[in-house]
Amino acid sequence: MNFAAPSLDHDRAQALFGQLVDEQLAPAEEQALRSHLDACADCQHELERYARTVTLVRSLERERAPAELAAQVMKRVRRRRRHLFGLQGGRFFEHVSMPAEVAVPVVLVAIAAAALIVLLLQ
Amino acid sequence: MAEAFEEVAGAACSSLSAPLDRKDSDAPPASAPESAELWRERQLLRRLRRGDERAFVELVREHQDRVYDLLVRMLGDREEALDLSQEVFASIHASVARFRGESRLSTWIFRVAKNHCLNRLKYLQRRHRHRSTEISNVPEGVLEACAPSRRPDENLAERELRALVRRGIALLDEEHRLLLVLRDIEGLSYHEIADITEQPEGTVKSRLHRARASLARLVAQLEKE
Repeated sequence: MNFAAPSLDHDRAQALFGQLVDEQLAPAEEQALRSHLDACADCQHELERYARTVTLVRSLERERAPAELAAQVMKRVRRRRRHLFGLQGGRFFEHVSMPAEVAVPVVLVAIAAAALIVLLLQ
Repeated sequence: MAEAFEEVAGAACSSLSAPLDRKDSDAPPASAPESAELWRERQLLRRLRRGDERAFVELVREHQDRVYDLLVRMLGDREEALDLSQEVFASIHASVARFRGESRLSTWIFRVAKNHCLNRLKYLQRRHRHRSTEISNVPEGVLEACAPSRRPDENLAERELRALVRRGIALLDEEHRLLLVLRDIEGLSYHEIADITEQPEGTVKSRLHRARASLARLVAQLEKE
C-alpha cells in the first residue's frame, strides 16, 4: 500500500537538510522532502548551498600537532610533580618560616613525645 | 570561483546519495575491529592507571592531532592552541586514574579539551582578545599563509573557497563552531558529540543544523564581498 508523503512547508523542509546530508532521514521523511524539493526552487537552492558548505568543511585539511608535543607535555607533568613534591616534601621547611633556635627544640620535643607514646603503648 | 562552486556543489549533491564514512548513533553493534579497538583501549587504560609513563606518551601521540586541530579551530591561534594542548594532556595525566571508563577514552579526552577550551576562550575574552573578531580582521593573505599545507590537487579557486569556509567558521559563535568541528571535521557521531558537549542528542542535531545553515549564509556573504 502506498501512502502519500505529507507535504512540508519551507521551514520544515529546510530543518531536515542536516539529517539528509547525514543520511539519517527516515524513508517517509526523505520522500516528503524530495517531493517538496521537486516543486520548490528556493529550497533546492538552499539545499545546494547547505550541502556544498558541509562538503567544503569536511574537505578542510587537518591541523597536525608538532611532533615534540608529547615531550613538552611530559616536561610540564614533571615540572608540576617537582613543584608538588617541593611543597609536600623536601622544600617544606622553606615554606614555614621558623628560626633555628625555635625549630630545633620543637623537633626534639616532637621526637621525645613520639618515644613516650611508643613506651606507653608497650 | 564559479567553476569551483559547481564542482563542489556537484560533489555535495552526489554526497547526498553516497553513504558517508561515519559512525552514527544508530550504527550497528561494535564490529570486530571496533571490539579490538575497545580491548586495546582497556589495556592502555590499565597501564595508565598503574602510572606507566610510556602508556601516557602513547596516549598523547594517539590523540594529539585531533586535540590540537580542535583547539586551533576553536582558538584561531596556533601558539595558544599548542599551550592549551599541553595543558589538556597534563590535566589528563593528573586525572586519568579517576576516569571510570563510562565513555570511550577518546570521548573523555575531547570533553576535557572542550572544557579547557571554553575556559580559555572566556579568559581571552576578558582580556579583550576575542578570537572571532581577531580572525575576521586578519587579511586574507595572512589567513591563507596560516592555512595548512596546500593539497597538490587543489586549484586556486578551490583554495579561495576553502579559505572563505575557514573564515566563516571563525565567525561562528563558540557553540556552533564546536559542534561543526566535532561533527564535520573530526567526524564524530551524534552520540559522541552529545557525550562531549553534555547535551541531549536531539539538541545536538538541531544546533548543528543551525550552525551549518549560519555557515552557509556567511560563506555566501563572504563570496559576494
